[in-house]
Amino acid sequence: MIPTHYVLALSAILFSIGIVGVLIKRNLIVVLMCIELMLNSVNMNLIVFARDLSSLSGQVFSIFTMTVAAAEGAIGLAIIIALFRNKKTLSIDEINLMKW
Amino acid sequence: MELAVFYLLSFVCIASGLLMIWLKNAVHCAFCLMLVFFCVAGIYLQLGAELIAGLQIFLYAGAIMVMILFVLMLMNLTHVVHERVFHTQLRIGAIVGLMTFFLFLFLVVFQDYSGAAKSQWTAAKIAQTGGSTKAIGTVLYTKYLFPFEIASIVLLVAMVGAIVLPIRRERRIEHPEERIL
Repeated sequence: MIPTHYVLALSAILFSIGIVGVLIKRNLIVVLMCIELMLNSVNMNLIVFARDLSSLSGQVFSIFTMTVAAAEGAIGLAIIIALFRNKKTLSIDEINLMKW
Repeated sequence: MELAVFYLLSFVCIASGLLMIWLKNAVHCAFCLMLVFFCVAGIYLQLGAELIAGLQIFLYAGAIMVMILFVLMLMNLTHVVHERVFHTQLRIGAIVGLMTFFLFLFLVVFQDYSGAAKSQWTAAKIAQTGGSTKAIGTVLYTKYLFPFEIASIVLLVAMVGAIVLPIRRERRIEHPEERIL
C-alpha cells in the first residue's frame, strides 16, 4: 500500500508546476493546460483521501471535479477561439486592452 | 514492487510536467500533458480507484486533450505566436511556485492523518459490492443524486456556451452578386 504522504507530495509538486506554468507561459492555450494540470493534482488528493478514510465520497467528488473541468475547458477554448478571431494573436502579452 | 511502479509513474509525471512548462511549441506541451494524464491514471489504479482511472483516460486524455489539440490545429500558429522574450517573469514564477510547494508541504503533506474517522467503504466492502464502478454507482445515484443532476445542468450550460461563443456574425455583403453560393 502506497503511503498517503507520497501521493500528497506528488500532488503538491504537480500543483506547483501548474502554478508556475500559469505565471510563465505566454500562450493562452498552454495556460489553460496548466490549469487542467492543477485540477488533476487536486483530483489525486481527493482519491488518496478516499482510500485513506475508506470513503467513496472522495471518488464521487472527483467525478464532479472532472465534469466541471471538462466544461470549463470547453468554454475556455470557445472564448479563446472568439478572442483569436478578433485579436489574431494568442500571446498574453498582446491581449492587454484592459491594462491601464 | 508496488512502490517501484509508483516511483516510476510519479517520476514520469513530474518530468513531463516540467517539460510542459519548458517547451515552446504548444503542441509539444499538449503531448506532455497527455503523458501526465496517463501516468496519473496509472496512479489512480494503484490507489484502487478503477472507475476514476478509466474516466481520467476517457475525459482528460481522450476528450479534453483532443479538444485542445483541435483548437491548436484550427489556429494557424506558425507566424502568430513568437515567444520573443522566452519565459518572461521566470524568477517571480519560480519563487511563487516554490512558495506554494513549501506551503503545501508543511500544511498538507507533513500532517498526521492517522486519527481521522474512517467510513464504511473499505477495499473489502468495495470488492464485495462488485468492484469500484458498482460501489460508486450505488452511492452516486442515491446519496449524491442532486449534485449529479446539477452537474448535468452544468454540462448543458457549457455545451450552449461552447456553441454560442464562437458563432461568427453574418457579414454584410455590399454587392449581392459577390455572394458565393
